[in-house]
Amino acid sequence: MTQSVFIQCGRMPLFLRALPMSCALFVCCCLSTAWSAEDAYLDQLDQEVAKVEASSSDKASDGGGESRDNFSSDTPHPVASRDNFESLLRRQHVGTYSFYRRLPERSREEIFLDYSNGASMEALRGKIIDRYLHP
Amino acid sequence: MMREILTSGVHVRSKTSLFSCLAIAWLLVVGSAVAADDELKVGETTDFVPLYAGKPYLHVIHDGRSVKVQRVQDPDYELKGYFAKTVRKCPPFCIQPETPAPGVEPIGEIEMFEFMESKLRDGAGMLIDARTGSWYRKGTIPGSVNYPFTLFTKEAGDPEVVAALKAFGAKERGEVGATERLLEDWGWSEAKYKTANWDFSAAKDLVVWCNGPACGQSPRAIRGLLDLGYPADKIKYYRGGMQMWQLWGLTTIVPRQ
Repeated sequence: MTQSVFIQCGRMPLFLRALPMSCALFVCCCLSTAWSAEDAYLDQLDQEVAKVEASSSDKASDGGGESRDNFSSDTPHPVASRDNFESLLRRQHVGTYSFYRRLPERSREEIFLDYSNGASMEALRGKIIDRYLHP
Repeated sequence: MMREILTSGVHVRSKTSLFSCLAIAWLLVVGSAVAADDELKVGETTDFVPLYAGKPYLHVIHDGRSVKVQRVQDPDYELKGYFAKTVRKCPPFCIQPETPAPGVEPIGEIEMFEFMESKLRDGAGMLIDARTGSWYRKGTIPGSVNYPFTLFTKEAGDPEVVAALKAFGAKERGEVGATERLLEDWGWSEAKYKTANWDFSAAKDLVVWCNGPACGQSPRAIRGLLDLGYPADKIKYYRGGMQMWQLWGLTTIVPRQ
């Protein structure tokens, strides 16, 4: 009876011998299922992205990739020098420039940093006046 | 006779007061009508559609350049293309819950604008486009940096994960002494933002987003970040994502290749 259930191999029954292999197989299956689920999701994402027409590009592609419309007319250039900034200010906003040149060096530096970081000219003008009135 | 005069005097006085009351009422009505008319005129003459009341636009730095974020000004603008679709195959593109994980705050567009103008500008926060690179290259929200969600499902020690966490302002803790650990365990030393390997005290606030309410990429990224120990209160989830951003006609940008 026992022999019909267990095929003896030494003293260990067959099902016990097969246990580690079964466990390994189970773990592999789980891992591969998880992996394939993640893989399938990525595949579907890739399929979806192919459907995205260049709608964003229509609005925002301009050779270099960024739309002119998205940049303000007074968009500061990140590599602009302080001289350029000051001459721009003098050219376009003489009144504000007259306040700006009376500011202490620290404040002027701060204004230029704001400009480099993309602050709008309107905001900068406000800040210049504010710094001038509240030194 | 005298009585008649008196009564007529009263009558006249009451008539006068009635007239003044009517005049005041008329003035009030006309005044308010004029004010309403003025408001209407202001509304009619101002065609510019702001981001929200009192905020016409904002600037954000993207890839070293200043980008103006504003609404599309064409009143006949209609969203077309992929992001105008209302239905996608579910799963996997199922509607996501408002909160991807406990403690993570969901935010809307106005909070996005405020974030862009405060923490993002100050360097205390980052906008994370958690989509895969191919999506990012099709267009993104200005100011965003691309950290695909797949990155945050990697092992904690993976060099890319380490680099990302460092970019987010987290600091590697190195060897933590037994005393320090004990003090932290007892609550005598501040350990709210510390894990065994990372100190997130100075970590930046992250706004994580992807394609929209039916996109699972940013929720996955958020869960991955939480598994890595990133504090939930330093993560915000912009569920609207690219779909809502485009629906409002907000500026998008195609990153330079």
